[in-house]
Amino acid sequence: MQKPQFPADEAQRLQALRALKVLDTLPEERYDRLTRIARQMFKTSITLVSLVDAERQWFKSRQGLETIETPRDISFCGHAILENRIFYVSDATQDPRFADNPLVVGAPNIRLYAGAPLSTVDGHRVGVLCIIDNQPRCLTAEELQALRDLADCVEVELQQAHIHQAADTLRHWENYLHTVLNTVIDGVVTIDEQGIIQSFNRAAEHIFNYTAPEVIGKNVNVLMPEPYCSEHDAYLARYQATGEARIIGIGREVAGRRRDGSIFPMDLAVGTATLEGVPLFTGVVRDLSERQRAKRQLDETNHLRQAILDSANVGIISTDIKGVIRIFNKAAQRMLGYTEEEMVGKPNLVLIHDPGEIAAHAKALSKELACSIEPGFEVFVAKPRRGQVAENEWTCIRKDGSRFPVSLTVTALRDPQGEITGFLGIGNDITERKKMERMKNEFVSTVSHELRTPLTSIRGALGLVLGKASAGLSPKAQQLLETANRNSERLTLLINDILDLEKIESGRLEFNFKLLDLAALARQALAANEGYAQQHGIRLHLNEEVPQAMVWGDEHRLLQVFANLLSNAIKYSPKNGEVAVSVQPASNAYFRVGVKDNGRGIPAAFRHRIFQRFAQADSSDTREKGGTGLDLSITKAIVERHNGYIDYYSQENESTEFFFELPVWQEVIEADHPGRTRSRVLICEDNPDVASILAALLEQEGLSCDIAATAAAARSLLTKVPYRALLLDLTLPDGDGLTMIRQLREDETTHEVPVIVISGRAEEGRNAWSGDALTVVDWLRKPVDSERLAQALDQALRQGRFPRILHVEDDPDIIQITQALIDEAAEYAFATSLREARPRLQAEHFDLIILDITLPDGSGLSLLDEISSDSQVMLFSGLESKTDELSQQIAAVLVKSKTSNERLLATIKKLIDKY
Amino acid sequence: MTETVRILYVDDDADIRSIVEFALEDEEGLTLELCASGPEAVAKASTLRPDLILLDVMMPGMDGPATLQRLRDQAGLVATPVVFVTAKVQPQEVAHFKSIGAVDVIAKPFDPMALADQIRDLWMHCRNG
Repeated sequence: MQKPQFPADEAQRLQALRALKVLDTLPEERYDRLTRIARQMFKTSITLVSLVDAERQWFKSRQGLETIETPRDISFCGHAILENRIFYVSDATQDPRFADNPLVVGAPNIRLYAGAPLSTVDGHRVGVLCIIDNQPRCLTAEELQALRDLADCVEVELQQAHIHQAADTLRHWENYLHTVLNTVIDGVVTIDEQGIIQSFNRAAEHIFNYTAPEVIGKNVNVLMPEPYCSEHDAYLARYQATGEARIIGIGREVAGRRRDGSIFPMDLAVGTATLEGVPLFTGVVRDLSERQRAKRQLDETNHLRQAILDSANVGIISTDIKGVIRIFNKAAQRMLGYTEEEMVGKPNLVLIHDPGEIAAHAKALSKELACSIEPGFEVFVAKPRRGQVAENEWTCIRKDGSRFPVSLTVTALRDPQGEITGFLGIGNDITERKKMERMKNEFVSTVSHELRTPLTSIRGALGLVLGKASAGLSPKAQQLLETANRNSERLTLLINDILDLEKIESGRLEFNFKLLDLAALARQALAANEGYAQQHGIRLHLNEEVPQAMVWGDEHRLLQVFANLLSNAIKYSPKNGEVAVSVQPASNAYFRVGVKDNGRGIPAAFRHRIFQRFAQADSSDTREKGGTGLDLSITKAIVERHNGYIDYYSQENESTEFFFELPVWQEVIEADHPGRTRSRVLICEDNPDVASILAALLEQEGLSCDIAATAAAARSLLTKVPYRALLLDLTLPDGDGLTMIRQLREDETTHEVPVIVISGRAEEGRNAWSGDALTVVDWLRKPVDSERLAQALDQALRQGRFPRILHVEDDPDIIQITQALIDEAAEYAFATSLREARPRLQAEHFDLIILDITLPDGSGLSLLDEISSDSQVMLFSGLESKTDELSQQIAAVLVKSKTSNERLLATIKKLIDKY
Repeated sequence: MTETVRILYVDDDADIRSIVEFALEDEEGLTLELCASGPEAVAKASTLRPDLILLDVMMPGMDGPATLQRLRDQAGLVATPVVFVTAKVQPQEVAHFKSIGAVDVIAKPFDPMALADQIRDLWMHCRNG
């Protein structure tokens, strides 16, 4: 027996067979009827549709056979699929390949076999339609052809499987496409070459407000307003003829028309494709109405914003986080004289600010925020960055160099997440306000003075009548005159207080700050008010919890604070009461002074206005208790000028304690008071014990110091810090003191530093010193005589500080004379106009400013506000000015025609001698 | 023997002049001359040769400091102590007046009953030192 061979395409054949998905399925009529026909036609005992699987042949349809499958090895069909033509055996017993085949020897005793191969669409023979009989028989050519025809019919049925599968795939893709089209937010409309709508997705329905069935089959121009509507057909025709495109393949913004005729802006992109030879145009449409409405709103907002920015009277400048200017509005342009182009996009804020002022603010801010703030943009934004309000007065500099005062508020700009995106500064030119303040202060001052003249007469007359001429008066008249006299005294106090308060609040009252001991001051105040307390039968008691409470203050003004608080406490204490004063630390940073009485307390209704002017709990107080009602306002103003604050505790009918707190004195705080800065001295000494003794001596002299243990360290410090003097040991670990002095004298930054030699070899050094004697202030032996050191320091400090004079004068002769007179006594500079003087006053420090009043561009007096308070001012002019009208800053007034040269020089020397 | 101090008081306000006159009359050791303006004082001072000059500050025309300057230019008055009688008594104002040559300042309004003693103290102070 011969087993059937495997065909060359066996693997693909099996794959194709399995793809038909017909193996092991139930019998189907469409196959069975074909096998029935074949059995009828050929009168054979068996007809089969046999599919040849890897190991078996399986019968999809069978007539005359029970078995559903047999092994491939013994099959006839295995042979039949090897060729395209019909495999035909007329008598198997006579064929050596099959004679001993079990299917021939045994049931079904095959003699005749004829099988027509069944092929798939791609040509793989997967099975056979065969007829079998148990009698040998010959088939005619017509019979074989009929078998082939029937086999073709079976093939068609097998291929149905492919068709179903393709249809499934097609259905899947159709659904997919449909879903995609209906989910996109863009409208998708396809048209044919005539412009007839073929498809219309859901978004398109929404955009145009048509349903798909309403527009499919209609010309797409129903979706367009004129003129596109009429032009469209011609456009489409021209495109097809010439390829000339306006939209196709380009996309642009056009107008669309909704079902109700309303027209809207849309973005249209059209693509073209050819489908089975027919052109197809796909339009993708996006409704722009929303976007345009949003844009219009944004434009409107922007216009409004611009209008606000332009018309605002305040300067508005915004920057990004790094300080690059983004907005520089019209008012800012007007105020500062720079154009928008000059400022926007640039980090130019520094142009309009005074570097000195920025540096001073940086220092103050660093202290306040307890971190290092660099002088620069950060000074403006450090507080807003921390969510704090930054409202400050600044000096702004115009493009032309002129200056003006500005009140500036800076805010951080934040995005919705709270991240800072930039900063906004709003600035007001406060020149006018300052002028008004000045005028008001001058008015108050003048009025107060004017009031005092008649008051002098009234008080004088009353005092004299009561004191000298009361003999003939009736007791009634005497009483009335006493009332008048008492009230004239009250009026005097009142005017003094008003004047005081006005000056303190306007900052015009000079405070003479120095280092003070609050505890000692409290003792002094108690002693001074002892008499007044006794009059009222009150005992004063001092609780000192600290031996010393050093603060930076004005002694006179702080005594006034004590006096006010004590006299209030005494007045409101019950007879035989006690007023307790305490001085104690409130925290690391503040000392607290309390003044407590056990009086009737402050009525609740009165508490909120206790620090207001003319506040007294009830109007009878004024007569009963005396005082002007301004005491607490003045007290508060004084305390606040000391950077302190004042408050009280009160329990009605039990006690009241007023307390104020002042900052503990720290060396750094002094740095905020230029001109009062403690002078810094460098000690160059390698023995730490000696160095610390010297440091203590310097401290006693009110000087601060640094210590350098080597010559190298000292040289390095000297180039960085402007020391007022150097205390120098001659024997240093890394060199000789004398050599060091020579080196210092050769260096431009250090050649003026006064040197005091302190050394065991002082005498020897002095003798060896061949240089100019003046270059060393003194030679002191160890151990140091503190008296002599103090003298040497005094001399050194004076030597290091050459007084500077600025003379504002337009007459060249006067300048020449003055300069000659001053000669070497001071450094002399002059300015011949206000314009020349202003920048110098801003940039430099002068100890004395000599002012002419009549200058080419205005009155010299207008400079007074720009002169720093630690400069002296002397008027030297042809005008006889009324000193009453002048600032208290003016230390001397000389009239040109009436002043001898000697007097001029003497006055100048007297004024600069303080330095 | 009691020394007599000749005082020149200059004030443009007639009422205040008469108060001063009333306050100082019959005061032992004090004689008073009154002037109503700076120029009048300048004109009379060299003849009167006062020991102490009291000057109002705010006067129309030649004010107190200007009067002081003019008085200083006259022979015999170069060293005469001058005291300003004024309402301007802020510490800085006082310092200013002293810097231009005043020995002291009497505050307005003054207590008329204490004026004589105040003047005597000032005079003692000037004479001694």
